[in-house]
Amino acid sequence: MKKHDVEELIGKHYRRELERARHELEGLDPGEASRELPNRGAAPRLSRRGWLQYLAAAAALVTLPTLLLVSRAAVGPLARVIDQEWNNGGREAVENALLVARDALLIQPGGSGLTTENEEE
Amino acid sequence: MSRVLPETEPQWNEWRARLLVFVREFGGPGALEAEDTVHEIVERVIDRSDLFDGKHSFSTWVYRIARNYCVDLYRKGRRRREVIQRHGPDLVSRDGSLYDPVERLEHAETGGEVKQAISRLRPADRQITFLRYSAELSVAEIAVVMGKPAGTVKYRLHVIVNTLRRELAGVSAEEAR
Repeated sequence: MKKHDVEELIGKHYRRELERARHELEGLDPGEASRELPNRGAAPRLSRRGWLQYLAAAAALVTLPTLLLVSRAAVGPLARVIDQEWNNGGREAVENALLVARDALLIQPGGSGLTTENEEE
Repeated sequence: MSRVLPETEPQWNEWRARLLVFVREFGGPGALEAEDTVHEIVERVIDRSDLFDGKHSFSTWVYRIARNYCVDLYRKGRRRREVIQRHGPDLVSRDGSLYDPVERLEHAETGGEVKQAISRLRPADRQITFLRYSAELSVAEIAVVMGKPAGTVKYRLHVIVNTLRRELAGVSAEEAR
């Protein structure tokens, strides 16, 4: 195969990918697709996933005592992670732990992706 | 290449599509939620539009911003993976496997021989491939986006084409036409 043929194949592949991306974006809610012009005053319409992300981000900003009280009651193992991460690296580390937990909750098929103290028992 | 900002909604939509492909080629955490990543990049581009001086083409500027954003996400992702490593036993999925979103993405099924061959390239090479053959940037422009010398980009392109030529030896040349 000549260099030109390889380049043609790559170009063709990317044209297909671009076409696919256009179709994907066309399939989005029009409001969703035109979010590039930020209307910061308007209340966002969030999906369930969006709300979870929002809550995870908000949780990362609350104070440590509240965070620990809430999370200890909700998910025992996560509370331990947060506890230790706070000692290791402060708020950023806690935020990372929450983001990990968020992805586990959102993406893991078949459930939360977290084991809880109750389940362990 | 254009040296002015897009003005109309269709123009911005076209940029979203291009960035969506780029973000996926970049891989890493940004590709997991690629549409959200594109949204953040477009917001960043708009927020900084007054800094666009036309010195480089708009494409070069946008892809540079996109790459920087994806690199930031990757770094954050790395810190998150460190959390996973420290707390693996507490963050196992129900099927017993350690949860790692990036690993899941890297092992995601891909289709098509060309797509698979490109996906096997090193991440930086994938980005260079996209910037050359999809964004159609020049070697000098790719060098600006990637923050590498032009000579390095030229050499990597040579290596990439040779690698893909070997990998795609079985693919009909007719298919390329």
